[in-house]
Amino acid sequence: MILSQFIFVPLLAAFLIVLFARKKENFAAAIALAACAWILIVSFIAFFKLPSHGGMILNNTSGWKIPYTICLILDNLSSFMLIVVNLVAFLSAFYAIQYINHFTGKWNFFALFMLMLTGMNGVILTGDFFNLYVFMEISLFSAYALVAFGTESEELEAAFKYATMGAITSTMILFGIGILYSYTSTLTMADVGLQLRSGGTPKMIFLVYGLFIAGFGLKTALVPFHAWLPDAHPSAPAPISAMLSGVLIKTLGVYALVRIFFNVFGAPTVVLQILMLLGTLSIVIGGFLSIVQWDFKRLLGFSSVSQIGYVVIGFALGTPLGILGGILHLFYHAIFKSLLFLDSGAVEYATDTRDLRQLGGLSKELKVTSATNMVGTLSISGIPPFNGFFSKLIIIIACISAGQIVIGIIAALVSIVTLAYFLKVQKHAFYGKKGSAKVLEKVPFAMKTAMIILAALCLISSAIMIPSIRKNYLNPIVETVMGRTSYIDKVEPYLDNGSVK
Amino acid sequence: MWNNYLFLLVVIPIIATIINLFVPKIIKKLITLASVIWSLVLSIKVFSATTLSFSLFGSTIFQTDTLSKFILLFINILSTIILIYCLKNVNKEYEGKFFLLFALTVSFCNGVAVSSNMIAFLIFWGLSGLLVYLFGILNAPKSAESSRKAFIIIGTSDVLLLFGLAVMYVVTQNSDLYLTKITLSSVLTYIAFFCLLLASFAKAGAFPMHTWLPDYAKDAPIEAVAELPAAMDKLLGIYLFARIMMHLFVYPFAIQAIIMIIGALTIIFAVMMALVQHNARKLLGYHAVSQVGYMILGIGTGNPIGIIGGLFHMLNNAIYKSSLFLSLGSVEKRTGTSELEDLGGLARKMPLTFIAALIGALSISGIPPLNGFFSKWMVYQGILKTASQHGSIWQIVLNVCFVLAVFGSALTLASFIKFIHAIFLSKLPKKYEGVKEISFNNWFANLLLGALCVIFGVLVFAIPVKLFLLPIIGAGSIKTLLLGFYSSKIILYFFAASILLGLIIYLVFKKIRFDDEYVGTYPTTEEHRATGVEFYNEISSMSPFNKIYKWANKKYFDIYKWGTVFSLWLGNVFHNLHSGLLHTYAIWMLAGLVVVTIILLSAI
Repeated sequence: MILSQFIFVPLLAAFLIVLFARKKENFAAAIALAACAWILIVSFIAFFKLPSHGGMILNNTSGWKIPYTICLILDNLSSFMLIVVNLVAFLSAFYAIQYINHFTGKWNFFALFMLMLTGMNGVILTGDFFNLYVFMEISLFSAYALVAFGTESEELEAAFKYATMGAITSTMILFGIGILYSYTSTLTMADVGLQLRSGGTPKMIFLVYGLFIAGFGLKTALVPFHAWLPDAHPSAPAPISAMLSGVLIKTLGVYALVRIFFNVFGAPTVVLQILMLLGTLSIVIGGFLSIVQWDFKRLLGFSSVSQIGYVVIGFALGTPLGILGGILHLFYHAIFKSLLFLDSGAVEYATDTRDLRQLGGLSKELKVTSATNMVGTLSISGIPPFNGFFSKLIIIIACISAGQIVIGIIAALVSIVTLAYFLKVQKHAFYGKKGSAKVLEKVPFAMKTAMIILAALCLISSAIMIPSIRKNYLNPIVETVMGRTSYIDKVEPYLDNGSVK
Repeated sequence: MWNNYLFLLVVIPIIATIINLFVPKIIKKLITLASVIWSLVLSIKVFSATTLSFSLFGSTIFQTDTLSKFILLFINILSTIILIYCLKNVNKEYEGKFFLLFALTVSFCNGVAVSSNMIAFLIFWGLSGLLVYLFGILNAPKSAESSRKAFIIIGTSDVLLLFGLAVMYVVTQNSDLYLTKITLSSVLTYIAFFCLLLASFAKAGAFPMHTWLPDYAKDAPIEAVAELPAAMDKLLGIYLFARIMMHLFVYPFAIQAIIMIIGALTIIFAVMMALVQHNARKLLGYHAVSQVGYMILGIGTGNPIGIIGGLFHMLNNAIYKSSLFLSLGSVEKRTGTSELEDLGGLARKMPLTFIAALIGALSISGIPPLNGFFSKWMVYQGILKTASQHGSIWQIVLNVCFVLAVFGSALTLASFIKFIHAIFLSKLPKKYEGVKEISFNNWFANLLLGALCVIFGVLVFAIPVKLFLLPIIGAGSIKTLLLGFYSSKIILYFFAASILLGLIIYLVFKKIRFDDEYVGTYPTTEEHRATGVEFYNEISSMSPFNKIYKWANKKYFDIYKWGTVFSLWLGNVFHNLHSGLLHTYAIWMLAGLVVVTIILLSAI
């Protein structure tokens, strides 16, 4: 039962907000925050209870057994993802309590926020393809609405682009699912995997690969499917940008890619090579694009394209070390990128602009923001002992030991570019000469607290690199991904024997 | 854990910093001082112990050998002296933060010196580089640009180190720096070697990674410049360089020759730039680059005398360069400027600072019997010795390096005559007539560094060579290594004799006429004051130097500038492709799908 909470609690919160909190907007924030806190605690409980369940908890949602019913599956990878998503969601929601005062329709915001969270948790937990699609659409549609939340022309345009491109690729994904269903007559992921394993690889499956790479590639914002992101992420309110860049692209994108291609299709080499190529392109193009941006949040958006490339090449290496690097970078990036987006939100809140050319000298006036931004900058640029250093180190070592020396060099070089564009932010926003923008308003308490907690996490989360912790908590996750079809093997006992083999 | 000296060396200053977060300014100073002195005592204990080690999470992370003990000791000695200087007269605006960072500096530099584990080394290396930035932005907004430049280049050094060590780890499957030795053979090993080499160059400030240093020296708080780029970064950068050359790699002679050429180029390029600077901080900054060339040349020779010379020069440079920065700092605190044109005649007003600066200037110019002479002399010997062991082409190349090094030394003297003359000797501007000598702690620390220069010069065999340098290369006696004959006593006698002679001449012909100055028939005004810099302007208009200086002013030799130009160009190319039009993006997406599908289909 523990699993359905992840979906029902935020869903319920969303409806409660719409039903009861339309007039009392503080009530809306309270409900949202309570729901987030609740599932954050539950996700930690689930994470620590998981080993005693043999590494997998499977819930059938009806009296039938899979594949005749839909199921929720919690394994090491999904419980880890739940922590990442709900942690960022909680802190973003906390930040939003006061940040959202600048907008009207607070209850709308929180309701959409909760729906988005429902979708993400659903994607992480679901055990079948069609629900993956459904939950993905739930979170995407709330994301489209949230991007347009400011209802200025720029924001509406961004949301429109995002929605159009999202819809095209969702159709591709649905098409892919359709092909799979027509071949295997089942939608349960493990069952699909099982049948493909026993029935050999049909040629048609390559088309599915292509559709899924393009489809989930857009959600991941891999080049050349990235073009929506730099418009959408800056347009959304800051806590939503933090959610989009911090966890949405990872849940709908990276997690789905990894789950499907590693655990269901057994990590075909050609797919890994394509992902490697797309990841490298993203690293380079996203990195160099960031350096010429003057909009604080747009710069962060392009930076996400670049950083997600690191995550993807980590997984695409296919070696245990590479996957470890990918997982770590996914987690760490969620922390420092949400921190940076929240910082940008604080700057915008205080000065009413995000144009770096107009900002300047904020370090004396926005002390917490500039200090936390410093921590975020150092983390994302991989300066030790902040968390980004360790994931970058592992990804680079993994590249070299897998013989991908050129990609290792590119990853290393772009990390210099990363440092360069974040120092640009530091110089122009915080330490350079005073700009034309004035500090109009102080950054309120809740926003500061959320930023400070994330900044502390940038340092504290490095501790999972301590060998004993890594062995106990990270290695099982790596094994889940690495074990490829072990996912199928684990789900197989739950399958109804009458299923078509 | 809490009785392990190596662990304490790193942890005590960090604890001091944590306490410092919560106490008032005056106690902050005391706690910082106490922790740094404690660290000094510990480093002396470590130095006199044989070898120590410290393990964490089941692997050895800290360890010492003769080289690291030597570096560790001087990190702490120099930091203590510089901290004494900082006790008073640090800019009030950032004094509190300054002391927080200072204790951290000591901790992190100690960490670099004692780390034997690759990851620990990387972490402390990165942290010590981060401090350069954090110190730099204390002076924001003035220093925002130069701090950014410094941190990008130093961050590059971190990344290079990370990449180099990652390759070494993959090649050897060993993360202990003390147990790793790689023979350069495959491409991978060459990549590792050059990455580490450039990392050490960026930290120490050698060509082509040096360009952050002069800019940073100009804008950052001067105490921080004396502590980090002038002292600690030299010790750490050259420490890594020495470890690469002596312990980590086995390399062919051609590599050595290339490194020596880089060393010689560093000397001559930087000193030429120093010669024409109008700002004292930049002048010293370029010298901080130029002197690194001698260290690289010395250690690059690969023979014992050259290595001793290079390491000794690193030590000497750390001492006199921080001393010079500190004396400039004193001048700046009293006059508020570091522009050579605006200064002059301060020797009478600030005699103790003058003496310290003079000793530093003579040392860096290599005047015997001061320490700077001796280390350069050993470096020269090392070059000649190496040259004599190789074929005629190499001999010519190395002799050119030798000549450049000697010529560089002469130009160093020339530019320090400018420095001393322009600040202390030329005519005093009217506005500085009320200037007074700097506070006790400032000149005391400054003279302490000067005293080290003298002691290490006069007692060169008895103290630095015997105690610190010979153990590193494991040789018993310096006499067997040296060519020719050198006695500091005789030099001292010559000095005494010439000073005596000067005095006699002065006393015998004691006829000095003081006159007022006139221009035309009018007494000179302030605008006619002869500053100490005009003479040197000739050089920059001389052919072919005028062209080179022009290029240098356009930053053609600045790797940072090229990096910026390239990244902005590439960024703009990508940026222009993003038209913002939905149908363009949709086409990319579909094209992506088509290409991916084609790749997939071709794999069937």
